[in-house]
Amino acid sequence: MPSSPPPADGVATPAVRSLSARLLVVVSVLLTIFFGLTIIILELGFERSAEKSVEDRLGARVIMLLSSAQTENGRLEMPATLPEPLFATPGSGVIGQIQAGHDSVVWRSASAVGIELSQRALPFVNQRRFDRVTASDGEEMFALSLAVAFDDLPDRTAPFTVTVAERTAPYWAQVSRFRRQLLTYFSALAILLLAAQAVALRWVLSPLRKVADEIRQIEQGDQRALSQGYPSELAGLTRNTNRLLDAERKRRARYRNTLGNLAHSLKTPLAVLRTALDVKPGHRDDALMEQQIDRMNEIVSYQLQRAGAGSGINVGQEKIDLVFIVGDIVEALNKVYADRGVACRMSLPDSLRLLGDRGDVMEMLGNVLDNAYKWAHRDVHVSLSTVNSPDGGPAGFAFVVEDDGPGIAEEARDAALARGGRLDETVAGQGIGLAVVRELVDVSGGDLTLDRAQLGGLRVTIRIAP
Amino acid sequence: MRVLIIEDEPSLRASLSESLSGAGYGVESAGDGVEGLYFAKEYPIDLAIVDLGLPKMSGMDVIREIRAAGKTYPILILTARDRWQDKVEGLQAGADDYVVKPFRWEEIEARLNALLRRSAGWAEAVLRAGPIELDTLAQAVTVDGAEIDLTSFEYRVLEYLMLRAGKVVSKTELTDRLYDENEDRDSNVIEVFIGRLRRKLDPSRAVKPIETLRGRGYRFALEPTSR
Repeated sequence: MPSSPPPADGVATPAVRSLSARLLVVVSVLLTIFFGLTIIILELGFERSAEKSVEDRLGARVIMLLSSAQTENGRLEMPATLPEPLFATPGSGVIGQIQAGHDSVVWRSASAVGIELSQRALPFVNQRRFDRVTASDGEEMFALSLAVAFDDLPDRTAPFTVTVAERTAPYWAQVSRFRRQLLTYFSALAILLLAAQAVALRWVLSPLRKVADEIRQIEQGDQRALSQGYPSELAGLTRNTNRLLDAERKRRARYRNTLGNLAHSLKTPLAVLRTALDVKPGHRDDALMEQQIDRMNEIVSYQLQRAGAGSGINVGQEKIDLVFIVGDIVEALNKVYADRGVACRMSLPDSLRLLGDRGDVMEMLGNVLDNAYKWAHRDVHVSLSTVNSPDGGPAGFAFVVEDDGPGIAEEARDAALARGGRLDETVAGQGIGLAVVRELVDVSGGDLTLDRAQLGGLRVTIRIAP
Repeated sequence: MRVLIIEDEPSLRASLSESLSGAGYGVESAGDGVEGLYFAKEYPIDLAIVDLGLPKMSGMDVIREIRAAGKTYPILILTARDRWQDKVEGLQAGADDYVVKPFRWEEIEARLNALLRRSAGWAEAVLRAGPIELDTLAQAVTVDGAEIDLTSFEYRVLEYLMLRAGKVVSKTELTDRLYDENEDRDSNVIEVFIGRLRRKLDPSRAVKPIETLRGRGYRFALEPTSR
């Protein structure tokens, strides 16, 4: 295992490798954004309505002060006791004052002792002004001023301004209490949501855990394949995994068989060699020993080629063009058999692409072509054509090679192909080319026939069904 | 004829060298790809035998490099891998033929003969020029259909000259290619052999198959004929 994983693509950083962790990150970010915005909106609304209620309360007190005011001798008089006791209590935090014109203060409530409101622009007649001011003791206060002109006072153009103010501290306390509550509720909600998500995730990811479990079981040999009934998103994965497992099992079986055949078929020539060595020196049969070595070599080549053959399943296959492969092989053979002066005539389509294992296909076509070149007097004819499947699916092909050599007698044709079982049961010295081709064709689910060529020699036809 | 063997298995390399020397070839041998490529590029080589599985540099790369260096002499591949994919790849890389291990010496010898002949422009195993026929397989020479009795060295001289028909071959080249290293390398001996060859091939001095070019060497002067 590599110690550091390769950089993951896109979202995934190497640190976030589990699906649950990724989801947790996403949900946390979303929760923070949504809850944050919600808290801000709610808080703004709350502040606005709290301020409105302060304004309303101050307004009512202004009206109360105005209704308590008396005009006497062209002057404004305020009664000693007011209906609102807060005006009478110093330090109550609620103060009232009345200004004549723009500056001179004509009345201040008893609670306003030692508290001066800073100068500010005053409203016009019959208008009000609500804002926050800083008092002389450093406290911030809400202040509401209303300008009025009394009909029965001489200077009707000079209005009186009635101002009532109260400290903002209780308001801020209220706002922050609200904020605290909000945070508490939303935190609880977030924890609840994350917990719910964890439960949901367990449920959603349970098929993945099951796959992992089953694969472990398969590794331990307790199970042969993944079970059915996975959610549709995983069905493709499990189906392909099962096919891969099956192919692998077949491959292993084939290797085991090949190894068994190889070992057994080598024992006979080995036995012959050993007994040949027991003969007194000078009486050794060199020809016999050489024959046995040839046989062993042939057995090894044959089993090697068989074991290499693909399993017929679309694992490790690629798009290959048979026309190029045939061209390459013929070019190579023309080089190797340059002395023979073989003329190879080819009827090939422009291109014939299909899915397959390049090595296997080369082995198949190479052995057939090599055989033709080996036996031909002068002429070899190669033709390749597409075999279309009736339902328009992937195409197969037909490959025909003819030569003008001696050919193979009808009764010997089966023998030339029959090499499927144990090599030690067959006659040594014959070429193994066609037998290997037959193995490869069989594995691909195709069809191999030998008959008499129009040129006079052997005609080999390979058809691989679509 | 000087043959280069690039093969990493010492016993195989030794037995091949021995067989090649025995058959009258000059031999260079290398045990890895890098050394082999050096010999292939720097020495006067007529044919290279290259194993595909080599240390330091694969045989396939050695072949590509030899061809990339502009060398056109034939290359014979030795390989244990007999899948067609490997063979085709080797031949495409620039080799001319292959022999699959394990092999017999006779097989190698036949391929060598054929490759050398082909590289000299002779299409068939029997070289024919005027009345002279040299059978490279049987190592036999006939003039007007009658067999001529040649020593092994005389045969090698004639074969070498015929494989280079039309080209000038210097005395030094002949001694380099035909003598083993421990043999007497007196180039005057060459003149004696050429003289004997001329008498055996052309007793009437009518055909004049071998020309002497003063100070430069010899040339096989007859045009190859095909039957």
